[in-house]
Formats: sequence, structure tokens, C-alpha cells
Amino acid sequence: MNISGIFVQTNPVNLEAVKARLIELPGVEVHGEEEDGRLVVVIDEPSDRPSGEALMKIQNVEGVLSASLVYQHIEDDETDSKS
Amino acid sequence: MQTTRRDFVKASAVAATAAAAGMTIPGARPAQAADDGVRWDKTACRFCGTGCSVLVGVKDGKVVATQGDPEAPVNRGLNCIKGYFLTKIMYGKDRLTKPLLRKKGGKYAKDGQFEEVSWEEAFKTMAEKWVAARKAKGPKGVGMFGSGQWTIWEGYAAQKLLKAGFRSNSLEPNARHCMASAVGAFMRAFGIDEPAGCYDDMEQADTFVLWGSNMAEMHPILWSRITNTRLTKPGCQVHVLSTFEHRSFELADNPIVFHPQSDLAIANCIANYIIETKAYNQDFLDKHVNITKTPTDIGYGLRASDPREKAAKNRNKGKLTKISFEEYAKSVSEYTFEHASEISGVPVEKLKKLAMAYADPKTKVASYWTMGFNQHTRGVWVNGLVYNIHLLMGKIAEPGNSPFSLTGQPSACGTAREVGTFTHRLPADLVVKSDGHCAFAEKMWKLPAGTIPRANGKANKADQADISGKPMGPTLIHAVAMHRALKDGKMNCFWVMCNNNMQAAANMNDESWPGWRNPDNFITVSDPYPTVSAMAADLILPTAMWAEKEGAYGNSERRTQFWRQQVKAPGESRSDVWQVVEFSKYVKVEDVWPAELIAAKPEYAGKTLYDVLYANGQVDKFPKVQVSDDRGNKYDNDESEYFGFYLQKGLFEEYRRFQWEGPKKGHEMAPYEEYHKARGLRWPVIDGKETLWRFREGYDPHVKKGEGVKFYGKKDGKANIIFAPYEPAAEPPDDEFDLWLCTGRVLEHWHSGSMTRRVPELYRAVPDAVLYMNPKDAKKRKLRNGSKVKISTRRGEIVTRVDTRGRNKPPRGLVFVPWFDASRLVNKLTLDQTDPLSKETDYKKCACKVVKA
Repeated sequence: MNISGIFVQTNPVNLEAVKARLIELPGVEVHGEEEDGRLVVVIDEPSDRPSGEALMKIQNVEGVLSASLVYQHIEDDETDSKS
Repeated sequence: MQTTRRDFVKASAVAATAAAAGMTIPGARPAQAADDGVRWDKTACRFCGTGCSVLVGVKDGKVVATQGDPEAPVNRGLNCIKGYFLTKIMYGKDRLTKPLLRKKGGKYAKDGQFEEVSWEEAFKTMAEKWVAARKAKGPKGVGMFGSGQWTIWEGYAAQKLLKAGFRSNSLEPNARHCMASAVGAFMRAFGIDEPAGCYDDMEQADTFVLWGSNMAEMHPILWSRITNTRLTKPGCQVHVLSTFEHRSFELADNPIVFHPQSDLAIANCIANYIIETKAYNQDFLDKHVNITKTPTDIGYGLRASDPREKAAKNRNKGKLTKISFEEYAKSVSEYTFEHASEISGVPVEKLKKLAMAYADPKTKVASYWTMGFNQHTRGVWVNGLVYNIHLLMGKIAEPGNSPFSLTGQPSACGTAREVGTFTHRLPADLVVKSDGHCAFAEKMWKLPAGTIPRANGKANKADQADISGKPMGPTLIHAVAMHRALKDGKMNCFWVMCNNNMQAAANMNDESWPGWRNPDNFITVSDPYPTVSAMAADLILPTAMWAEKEGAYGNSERRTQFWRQQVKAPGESRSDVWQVVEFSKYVKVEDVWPAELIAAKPEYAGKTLYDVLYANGQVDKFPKVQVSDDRGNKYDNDESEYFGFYLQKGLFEEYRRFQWEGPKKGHEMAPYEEYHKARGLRWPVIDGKETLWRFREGYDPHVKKGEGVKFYGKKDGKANIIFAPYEPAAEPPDDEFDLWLCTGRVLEHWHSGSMTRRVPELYRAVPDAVLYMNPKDAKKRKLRNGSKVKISTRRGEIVTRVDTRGRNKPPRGLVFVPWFDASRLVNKLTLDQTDPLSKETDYKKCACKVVKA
């Protein structure tokens, strides 16, 4: 299990489009938003995927003005590794 | 079970992120620190000058996690991608763990192969070379090139070693390549270094102007603060100026791409508009400002033999002349919107929009700049031209009105500038040009009068005696001149510490490489990794880095931050401060000081530099202690353990006396322990209180009641407006080399990439430096996105691939190549041109051509 919380900022006019692009990325969930362009994003990555890959992808998503990591939790668990 | 645990962690992620974003999400549970045997403690980030506080988690003697510090005023829990991977920079597979010396047949040989040696053999060999070079070639025979990544005490210890110990002013930091123009402009305008404002201006300002700074990539956390203000504050505007379009343009209300060097014209054009519309603040000008001009046609900091230098009428000149307001108005009147538009290629409407934002007395404006301004052959001028605008309007030194020079390194301010590890400086803004300042430093350091080399080699108007038997002579030598001196054999020993100058310095082919590999020279490089510089050295010293030592940095907003040693360094690697202090044991006073100087302090006879500089009853005055935090965690301090006293504290407390007892007020810091408790404090710190805005009554304790505003760095309390015109660049494109070459950084890598390229994820994300090019320029050369190309200049060539669709979008006529890539050394191409005043290299403008490879 590798879960990160990312604070994403986008221009309000692009909010819907950016949200759509974000949730297309594997493991990316949008958990909160404000009309002014702020988004609370969670990345749920398997622990065998190189960590931070999704964060790097997020900041290169068109319309994302800024993406900052706030929270990360990595935990070894059997469910993740056996699949 | 699994789902529950996962949901819980997710909820924690949401809660923490929402809190950092200032959002409320119903039902989100607060994050809880897991009790997983990880010890958490605060550190300052190892990378840029933002100065984020990063929590470091240590388990079993290894850093296992990092996290943005929620209690940090700078980053408020946020962390950028480089900060995210901080953990990994110490664990590259090729960490150096033993000193390595080039040897042949069991002895040092310039053309030998690297062999493992003991620290003793390393320092013995080095000391022999240094003492010989110092005797034979005088004060410039040896030199040290340090860093804006040095901790405060590392810079301070090195300064004592060079200036007091070796009696040499050949000490420079790599900050010369990055901040010198900013410093020059601060000193000229305000008589004191570093910004009046602070990061709080990022929430206070109404309008933001980026002049030659790509904050979105280079200062991502500060950029998120500005983005937040732009998105949430009605009427907030962002103007972005650059010679090419980059990530920061995505937030721009007024995107401005200008021709290289024409920022000089644009800034003057704004001043002209303010004057023509009489928008200036007459009261502020009358009370707080002097108006001056600077000599023009000053050359480009190239070798004196260069025709461009011979043609310069006022080569290297910078003495200011007072002028009247009318004369100033007349000087800028040439820069009408139309004329500025002609020079810069920027449409008149865009220039107007920018000028109007500055000229509106009700709009609070914060201006930011980094290397676009500083790495500029007219860097001091152009920094000053933006101060002119702010001073005309009185928009300075108050919340939201803030001309602000951002730094690129974590302690360019805290170490290089504040400690003064430049050839011409001493701690707390003192300079070696001043006999009085040197005498004060000698008193602080318990040295005989006349020990520290004066800039002109004369103490109390008499020649300073030297170990070489000749008079000391002029002693200043800046970074670029050091490489030239190595090539010319005038400097024979060079110690490069905490930076990668072979990769970083301009014109590697003609200057840096021949200088380092000159058979007469002995080059030492201290680094954790086998960098381009390390591999070009004769002696490599393995270095303990960042959280492997107790440290302190000072960021762009005058914030001093400390951290404790979190883990042990691998193998025999040792911190920079250990290396400097330990090396001093290998040199005796008699090796480097003339007899008459020792006679003035006979108790120093037969002593080592260690005895004189560090075991001086001051630096060694604090006994070693068990370092601990308020939660009862215990930490190592390997330097205290080795030397037997609290080395870092001793150095810091001696340094602090320069701030509190020295001739220049306004640099005061708090006692050592305070910084281990606080998330940094912004100096001046008086009575335990930090200062957010300087020079303004009510904010700055040095401004008395009733004074309002006082620029106390200057004797008369007034700041300088300094007129300087537009002048062309040193090497504009021509028929053969038909493109501007601009170099710089990318988000994923920091500086020369010696740390970030060893993080597999960052390496994979951006493995190579590509050439960003306009699609039309590519088409004209029959190139496509991804084509292999050869870039060449008058100095060299490299091969890489073209990127026409990437995040950087240059206009026609300009290409951009980042410099992080050790396999494509773009500084083989750049010209070693500098600002003649600040001696800082211009890495942003030379002529190149690009052909299919």
C-alpha cells in the first residue's frame, strides 16, 4: 500500500477538464474541490510501482498549475505483493 | 481488514491535504502519526533557496521517509517532487566512502590513477602542496571554491581557514554564479544585503511580476502560494516575463516574451511611464531616495585581451554619480513604449499593462527574479532598474510591496552572503576593502593586526608582509578569474567543496578543464559522489551530506533554520566542516605567516592553524553534549564527538559576535539553541523577535519611532535610484551562429544533477537534457521532434535531441538547454562572460548553431 495526498491547483475555468484528466491516471482519486481551482487528490499506488510516479505525472497534466505532496504512507502488506 | 486499513490511511491523506490546502472536507479524519518506530524530526530541504522545512523519518539508522512540515510557515506541509525524494539523495549506489588520490608507483602523480588513501595521507599531501603554492605564488597561489549549500558554520570555518589561516582572499562560493548580481544591487541601492520583504508578501500583494524567473519549476512551493493568491484574491494579476515561454506562463494574465537583454529597456520604459504620468510618490522620493547614474560601456567581464574588453570605455567601472530628478527623467525618456517595444519585441499593449500595474498607487506589487536577472552581463544594473521602479512609487518595505530576489541554493543567503564567503567579504556585510572591518575581524578572531589580507594588500597604509617575501599586493580574485588563474598557472591549489564547478562553470573547454588539468596544479574536490568535478580532480574527499551532520541554512527571506544530525555518514566520509577544521591541523603558522606577523603574537609560534583558528578559547568553548529534542529523542553529533567540543555551536556563537558587536547593524541572530526550537527565524532577531519587513517603522526594530522609513544600510538613510541604459549583449547571434542559447534548470533536477540524477524516479522522469526549440526553427533545419542534433558555439559542441513540444516553448531564434546532464555538458558551449560589476557569469546568452547530427 502506497497512499499519497496531493494538493493540486488549477485555473477554475479548467477545473472540470483537469479533474477528468486526473482520474484517468491509474490510482488517482479526487476527494475534494473548490470552485477557485483547488483540488484534494489521493494517489493509491501499489507499493511495487516506483513511488512518486503518479505525482510526477500529475504535475505534467495539462491545466495543472501546481501539484504539491502533502501526505504519504507506505506500508508493506501481503495483499499488495501477491497480486 | 485490508479495506478498513486502506480506507483509514486514505482518509488521513485527504484530511492532511485538505488542511494544507485550507479546505474543509466533511467527514475527513485528522491524520495521526503512526507508531511504527520511526523517529521524526525537522530539517531544512537540501535543494533550492525556498527553505521548506521537511520532516525526516529515521528508522534503524536510515532515513526512510520525508514529509512537508505542517508547522513550517514557509511550506505549510507542502513538498515538491524533489523534496519528496529527499530521502534518496543520500543513498545513491556510488557514494564515495574513502579519500581517493591520483597515484603512480605509490606516490601522488597528476597523471596517476585514483587510489584509496587514508585521511592522513590525503591531508598531508594536500598540505604540502598548499604550503608550497602559498609561498611561491603569494595569496592567490591557493584558492577555495565553496558553496551556497554549505551550512552556515562550514562557510564560517572555511572563511577563517582561508582569510585568517592562509592569509588569502581566494575564497569564493558557487553563489558567485548565482547571486552576486543580486548582492551587488542590494549594496548599491540599500547598502545592506538581502530583501526588505519576505514570503508573507505572497499573500499580501495584488500583483505579481516575474522577471526572469520560472518559479513554477524552480520554486514550486512558493509558486503554489502565489497560485493560491491569484486564484482566491479578486483582481489579483500575474505578469510573467521571460525570453521563452515556460510553465509559469500558465498562470500569467500578462505573458511577455522579450528578446534577450531587452529587460533593461523594459524596466526603464516602466520608470519613464511612471514619471511621464507623474504617478511617482514625491514624498517618498524627497525623504528616502537619492538619484544617481552608473558608468556605461563597462565591458563583459571577459579576459582583458578580448577585443570587446579593449573596446569598452569604462571597463568594470561602477562608481555612482548623483544626478537630479530631471536628469534622471531625461535619461529614461528615451524608453517610450514604442522604443522599448522595438528593442524587446514585446507589443506595446503588454508593456502598458505591466507599467500601469506598477504605476497604480493602490495596487500592491511584488516583483520576483532569479537567474534571468542575476546571470546577466548587466545583472547589477537590471536588479537596480527594478528597485528604481519600486522606489519611484515608494512600493517597498511594506506588506505586499516587495521587490524580491529569490535564491537558487538553500544557503546562498545564510552562508555565502551572510557569512561572506566571497573574496571581498567578511561576516555580516563587512568587506576586506575596509581596513577598519579587517581590524574588527582580527580582534574577534584574536589575530595579530594586519593578518587578514586587505583588498589592496595594504594595512594601515603600509604594504602587508607576506610569507612569499614579496608585498601582499592586490588580493581579490573572483570565481571565473580563479579558473583563468589555474589555466595561467598563477593559482596552483584549488579546493572545491560542496559544488560541481567543472560542470557548472562556463566555457569548460577553454578555461575550466585546462585549468584543472594543468600539470602544475593540485585540485581537491570534496563531494559525496563521483561528479564531473570529482573525476577531474587529483584528490577526492568523501563527504557527509545534509542530514548526516548538524546543519543550518539561511533561505531567501532571511530565515535561518537548523537541523540535527539524523543519521551517520557511510564509510569514512566526513562533513565539510570536519574536513576544513581537520585540515587546519596539518598547517603550521610558520608555513603561511611571515616572521614579523608571528612576532606580534609570539604565543602563536609553533602552533597549527587549528590551534589559532578553532581551539582559540572561543570556538572550542562549548563542551560536547548529548543532542536531544523536546520529545526526548537523542541524536549524534559526529563532529563534537571527534573534536571533543560542540564545534557547530562554537563557530556559530563566534560568528554571531560579528552581528552584535560589528560596525554594521541589522544582521542580528538569536542564540544557537533558539534555532533548534523554532521553524526558522528571520533576521534581524532582536529580543527574540524576528523581522518580517525591514526599513519600516513598526516592523523593523532598527527604525525608530517617527522615522517612518529608514534605509539604514546607507549613512544618510536613503536608498539609491540608479539609472542604467540598455546595452547589447556580448555575443549576439550572427549569420553563422544564428540562435541564442539559454541554459537553466528543470523541475525534476537540481543544479548539476549530482543528487537528483541519483534518484531513480527523477532520473527516469527526465533522463537527458534536451534542446527546446521552436517548431519553425526546427523545420527550417529539417529537424523533427526527437531528432538528434549537434549544438555548437565558438567554444565547443554537444549532441542531444530536439524537443519542440515540451514544457518550454522558445520563440524563434532562441533555444534552451538545461545544464543538469553530466553526459551532455552544456557549459562546454557557454561563454565565460560576466557582469563586470558583480563578476557573475551570464549563462543565458551566447550564440549557437544547431544542425542535424
